[in-house]
Amino acid sequence: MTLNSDHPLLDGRTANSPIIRAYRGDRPETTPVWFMRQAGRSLPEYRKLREGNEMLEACLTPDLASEITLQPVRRHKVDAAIFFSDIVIPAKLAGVEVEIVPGRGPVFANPIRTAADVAKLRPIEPEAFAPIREAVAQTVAELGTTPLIGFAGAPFTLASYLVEGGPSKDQQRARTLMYSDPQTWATLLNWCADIAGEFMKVQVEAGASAVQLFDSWVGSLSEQQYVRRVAPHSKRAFQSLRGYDVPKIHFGVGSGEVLKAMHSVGADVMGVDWRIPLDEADRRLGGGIPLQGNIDPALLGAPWHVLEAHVRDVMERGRAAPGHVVNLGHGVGPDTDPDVLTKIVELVHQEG
Amino acid sequence: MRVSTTEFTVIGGGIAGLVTARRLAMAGRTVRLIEASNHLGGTVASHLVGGINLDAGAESFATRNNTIADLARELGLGDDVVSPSAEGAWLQPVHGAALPLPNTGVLGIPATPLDGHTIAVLGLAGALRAQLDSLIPWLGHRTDISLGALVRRRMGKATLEKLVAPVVHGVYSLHPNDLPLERVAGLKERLALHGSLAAAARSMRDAMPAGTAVQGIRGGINRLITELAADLTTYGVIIDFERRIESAEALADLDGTVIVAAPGILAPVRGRTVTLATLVLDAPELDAEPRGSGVLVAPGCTAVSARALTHATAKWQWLKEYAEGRHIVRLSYNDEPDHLVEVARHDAEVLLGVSLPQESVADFARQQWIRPAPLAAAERTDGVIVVGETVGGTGLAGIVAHAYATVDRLLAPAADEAESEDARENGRHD
Repeated sequence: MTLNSDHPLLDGRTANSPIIRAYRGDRPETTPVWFMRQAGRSLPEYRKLREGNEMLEACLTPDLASEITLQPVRRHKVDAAIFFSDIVIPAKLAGVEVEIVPGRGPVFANPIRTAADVAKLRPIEPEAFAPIREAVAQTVAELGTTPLIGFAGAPFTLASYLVEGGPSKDQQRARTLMYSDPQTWATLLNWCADIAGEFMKVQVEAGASAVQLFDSWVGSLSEQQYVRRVAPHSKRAFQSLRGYDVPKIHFGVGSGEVLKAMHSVGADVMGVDWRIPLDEADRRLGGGIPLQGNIDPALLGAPWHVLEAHVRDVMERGRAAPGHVVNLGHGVGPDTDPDVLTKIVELVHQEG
Repeated sequence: MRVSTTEFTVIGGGIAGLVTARRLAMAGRTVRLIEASNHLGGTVASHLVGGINLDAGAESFATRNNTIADLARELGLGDDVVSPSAEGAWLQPVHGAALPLPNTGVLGIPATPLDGHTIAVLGLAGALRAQLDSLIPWLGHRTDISLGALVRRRMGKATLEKLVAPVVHGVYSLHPNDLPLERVAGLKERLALHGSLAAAARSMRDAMPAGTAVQGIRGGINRLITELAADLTTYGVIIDFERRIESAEALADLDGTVIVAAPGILAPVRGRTVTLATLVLDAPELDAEPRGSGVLVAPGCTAVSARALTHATAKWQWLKEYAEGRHIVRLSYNDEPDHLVEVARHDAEVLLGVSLPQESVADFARQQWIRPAPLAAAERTDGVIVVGETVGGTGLAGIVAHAYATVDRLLAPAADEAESEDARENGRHD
């Protein structure tokens, strides 16, 4: 399968945008920048829009999802939009009961812990994706030459939520299942890979010019566990995009030990968290891989001259890689001053 | 949309079928596995005895070629591969008390016929006869000779019946007279090289990794199956449970290249019944491990009907930890004895040389297996690929190595083309 000829990557809208060029290993005139979690809670216009709307309902209401996705592009002039959604959305679309509890995160009414629980999981009906298709299409139409990045949560992180029943400190229940019942684990991760893969595919088909697979909790795994119990499933998720020539970004928090293994599942670009500098990430990857990152979000509240020096250092170290897209080492926090983000974009663009 | 054409259909979810399906799937092929029962593993099974999950079939594997240890490592069990305790096994001769088994040779073939342990078992005359082996020139033998005939010719009847027969029986469940020489991997070659049976046995022993012929896995060999099943799921192998393929004719209806990994399809199952009795004992006298890792019984011994006894908690340190002071003893029988719990308790008493009153038996389990006989040449259907015990020999290491070789052939580019041509002719690739 290939992209439709009116896809933004093929009809001339986004293929030559700085960020797509950087993702493909090029050095555009200005270094591109965007922020993970730029769409959402740090923006006053988002909080206003969300009033009275439940988080996941907002994700599945095309007008809202599209508007929230566009807000940071208008405000910060970032080089890409990231589709406003949540990693549990594919599970919800597959019929799994989940809600976002404010202050806590996604909570599942019935955690998935046994072979019988896993056997009850169903694939997503194609019609269920309608609000996603619509939101992406609307957004892409508004964005013009600014690419939209689609996204999904990677199988391990998604499965961890399902097994734990919600956010957890070290994913111990999930990792226990991985040891005690590896077959059930593999079945669950394949299901997660398939729904995450479908979710990415729908976004790409509707006009996303790149995708990012988030394995937020990968840092709780040893390299051996990752390679054996997780990587084949992440690969399966990316394989849903077979035939679609879109840059595939893979990001995990605490991924230093598994950076190379994460790349080998089929990623084109590696997102790096704040724990290792980009030149070190480049060395660990053996060179030649475009990188994304990795401003320490903890410095977003620091005096500007401190943050500025840090951003310049990130850009300097990013030169080790063939292409570099500036981003944070993790998502924007809810208390971040939006003006700081705007200033970072200006700095990055002006530095070139 | 996923492409769902099945390239390979594997019949049988025992160890051979599982490793075959796994290797094919990891090479990117689409594989369907058909299993007649509702679970995987075949004779590599487990059962709960005395609250402990124990192997119900194979409990160790041959270290030869490292095939199984490598597989365990690939499956993430590398840290749990364990060697049995250094305690040797004992021998229950036809008459008299059990004796420590000379542990310097392979398959009971004495490496140094005149050492004290060997003389104790064979008597001086028997040992001297065995020593003659070093003087008889090796002129080559007919290839269809049995191990028994060879040992008898070179080392005499005492060595054959008192040493080799009990050990071979413990490994192959066969009398050496029924064991073709070529099934003992490497022996013939080493015999030709060294000229004497004792020297060949010595060199085989030396070639074994870390000096131990077998290893196990902490938690049981059956953990391999759990991990293999997980890998099949990971790599997208479709598994049809409770689907029985009755005959060779039914193979034509299956998709892709068919690999038979179960007995009873190309020919009716013929084989020997082996019954295993597992005793969990509250018997502090066994703390001293009076018979090391176990006792092999010489054929013709009428004091017991068991063929071998394994003192599993003495053999495996991990099992001793799991058993928390209890003892686990496993006895094997060539037939299907009645009143097995009583027979096994009595045999354990005789073989271990301690009193085991009925109340010392905390739990008991009976497990019966049919060990399929090798497939005769006439039973092989042309073009049907077979793996497993009927063609791969006895023991996990041999079966898995044979399955790997079969997969390598199937995946080799030339074989690949020939295969798909075959399949086209048979109209099997839709």
